Amino acid sequence: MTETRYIKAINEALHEEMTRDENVVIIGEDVGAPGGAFGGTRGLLQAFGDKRVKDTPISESAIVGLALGAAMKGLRPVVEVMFADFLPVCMDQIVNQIAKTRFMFGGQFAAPLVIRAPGGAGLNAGPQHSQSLEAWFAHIPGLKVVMPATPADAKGLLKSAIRDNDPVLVLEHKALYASSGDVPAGEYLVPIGKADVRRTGKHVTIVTLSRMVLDSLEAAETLAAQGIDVEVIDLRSISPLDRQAIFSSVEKTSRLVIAHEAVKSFGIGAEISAMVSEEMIDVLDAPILRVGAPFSPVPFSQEREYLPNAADIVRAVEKVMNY
Amino acid sequence: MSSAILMPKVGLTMTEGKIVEWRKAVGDRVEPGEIVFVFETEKVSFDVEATQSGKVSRIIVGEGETVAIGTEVALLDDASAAAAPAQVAAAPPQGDVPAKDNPASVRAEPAPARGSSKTRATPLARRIAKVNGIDIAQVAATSPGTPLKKRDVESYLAGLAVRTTSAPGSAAMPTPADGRLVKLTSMREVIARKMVASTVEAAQAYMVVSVDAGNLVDARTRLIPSIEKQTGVRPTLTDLFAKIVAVAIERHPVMNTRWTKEGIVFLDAIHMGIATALDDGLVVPVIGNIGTKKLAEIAVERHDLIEKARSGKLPPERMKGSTFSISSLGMFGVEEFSAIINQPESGILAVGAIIDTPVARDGAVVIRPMMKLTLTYDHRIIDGAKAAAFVATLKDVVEEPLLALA
Repeated sequence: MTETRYIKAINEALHEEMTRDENVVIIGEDVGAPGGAFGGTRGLLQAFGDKRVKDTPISESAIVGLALGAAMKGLRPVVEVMFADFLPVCMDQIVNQIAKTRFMFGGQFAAPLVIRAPGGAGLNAGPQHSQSLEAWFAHIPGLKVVMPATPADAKGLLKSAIRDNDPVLVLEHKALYASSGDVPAGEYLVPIGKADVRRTGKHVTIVTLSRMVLDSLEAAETLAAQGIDVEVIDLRSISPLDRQAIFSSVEKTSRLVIAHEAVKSFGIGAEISAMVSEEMIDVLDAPILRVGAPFSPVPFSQEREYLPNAADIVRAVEKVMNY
Repeated sequence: MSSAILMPKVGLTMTEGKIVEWRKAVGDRVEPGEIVFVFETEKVSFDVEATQSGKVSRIIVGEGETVAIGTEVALLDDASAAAAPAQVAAAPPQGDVPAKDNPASVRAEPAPARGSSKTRATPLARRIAKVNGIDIAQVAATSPGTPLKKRDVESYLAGLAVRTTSAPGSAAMPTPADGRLVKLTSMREVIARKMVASTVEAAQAYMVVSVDAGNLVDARTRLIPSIEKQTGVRPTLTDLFAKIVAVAIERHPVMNTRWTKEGIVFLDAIHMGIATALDDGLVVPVIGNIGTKKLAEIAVERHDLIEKARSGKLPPERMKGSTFSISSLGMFGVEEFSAIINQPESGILAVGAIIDTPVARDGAVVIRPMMKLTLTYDHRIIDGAKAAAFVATLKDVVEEPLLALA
């Protein structure tokens, strides 16, 4: 166990997986000599050579299409898309091709590839470099979507994604790249589709993901001082979703708040809220509340005011507790 | 065709009633206006009259049993069958039990009507109610306002459990090996619940002071003829005392407060509760706005309240809303004692007997009519020094009642 930064944990996972399996290759813009826009692929070119670490032109659709072809032929490509905001550029490849490969070929081909892309706001990167688009991808059957909140999960989920036989979108959070945490050295896998109970509590469940896990834990501390005992569930995987973890927690607390950084409307929170209502409405002792961003592009100048934070979560929890 | 007679709801906080007497037996005919049964709630008993004629076909709830409001207590065979009584029996009562659907009603006090008929409850509250075989509307009647939640249903169920264990023939009922079991009256249950709740809720602290009651006794002696002539009621020491305590409270508003989650509420008016012993229990009738009342008015009101309380006819609302209470056991010769705060008040004053006692005055021992006052105060709100300042004022005013005019 060593204290490691989130971006370093990703780099460590790539090093380990490329060493373990020679079919693992890196494709993306500036992933070679520069080591990636945020340093995720640093040292890989030097360690594994330019046959396995391919710098590409600025052409997201071509990059992802190339990765699909390579995956169908037996490689395990890990693509870096510099900002998750650029995923829409290659949406056809991701949604119409990659996600459907296994189904279209009756299982004779698979697409065991990984797309890494940093999403989220917090660095004042403006409306075209700060979005949280995970709900789009979670809506597509055939794609797996994971969003690590901690360095350990960043490593463990990426390693599992590389070994997965289906396409996995790893949405990293650019504001978490500099965060540190204990990361197990060497082989460490976090299963895809398993949530993590980051704090146990009995009064209200907060289901959250990515950066909002930290805000939720901060809110939980504040609420604990008021005698409100909060359980925080870090989803880690959006698709597949760990329904059982959510159900078990809500069964215990009877109250649910969902917190995510993405725009609240039509988001992951709406899905989870609907799912809980469908499956277990009779355990609920208060309405399900969502905390999310307002229905607006991420602003450049007032990003802090725009982003949901711990205080918003505290307010939502107080509201369900006082219902 | 038969219609159900339901346990009515009188007063906002009534949740259940105990049937103390059936005036009609199965097979008896009843006519509108005739008393069908008598029930008691908390500290008061009520007569229930029939509002339609018919024949009592079944008594469901026997004497001594306690049931929730809205519960069917008897069936009335209705020869005319004009109303739709089957509907009444089948449909769960929503909120209060409407007088018009209940073929019996409480004399003198109709059940207050409530606006909405749809019960708002969380899905969890509904499930718990269903699993336990209770009607959510019965819970609604006990907790108006916000939507019903798990805790509302659970506290309702807890109430049922208490009732079950005290119900006749219940297996859980303790059977004393030797001795005599006196069943709990509604009043005894209320007293027990309130006293325990108070000791759990408030941080009760105590302070005792000896006062010279000579001038107080004199003042009363001099006031008796005029007030008795004016009103026909003899003012008691308690009446005088209640007035004097109110004067002291006016000078120490922290004594007239209420603890809430949001903060401490300083109450504008002083409503004085006067703890009054009955043969088989205790009631606390309230003299509202005592600060604005003359001694004669207080004496008349206190006399009237206590007469009603002794005959079990004191309406519940006359025992509510006090902001401070006094309790006196002086008439029994008790020198001093401490009382339990009557929630949600912040203090209660226990008044002991006036006893001739040797005390030192100007270097000599003299015999004076001394009295001990014990203040119980809620230390969450009132600090020791604040309580002491109040007690000092109280001592001054009791020893020189003229200061009440100052």
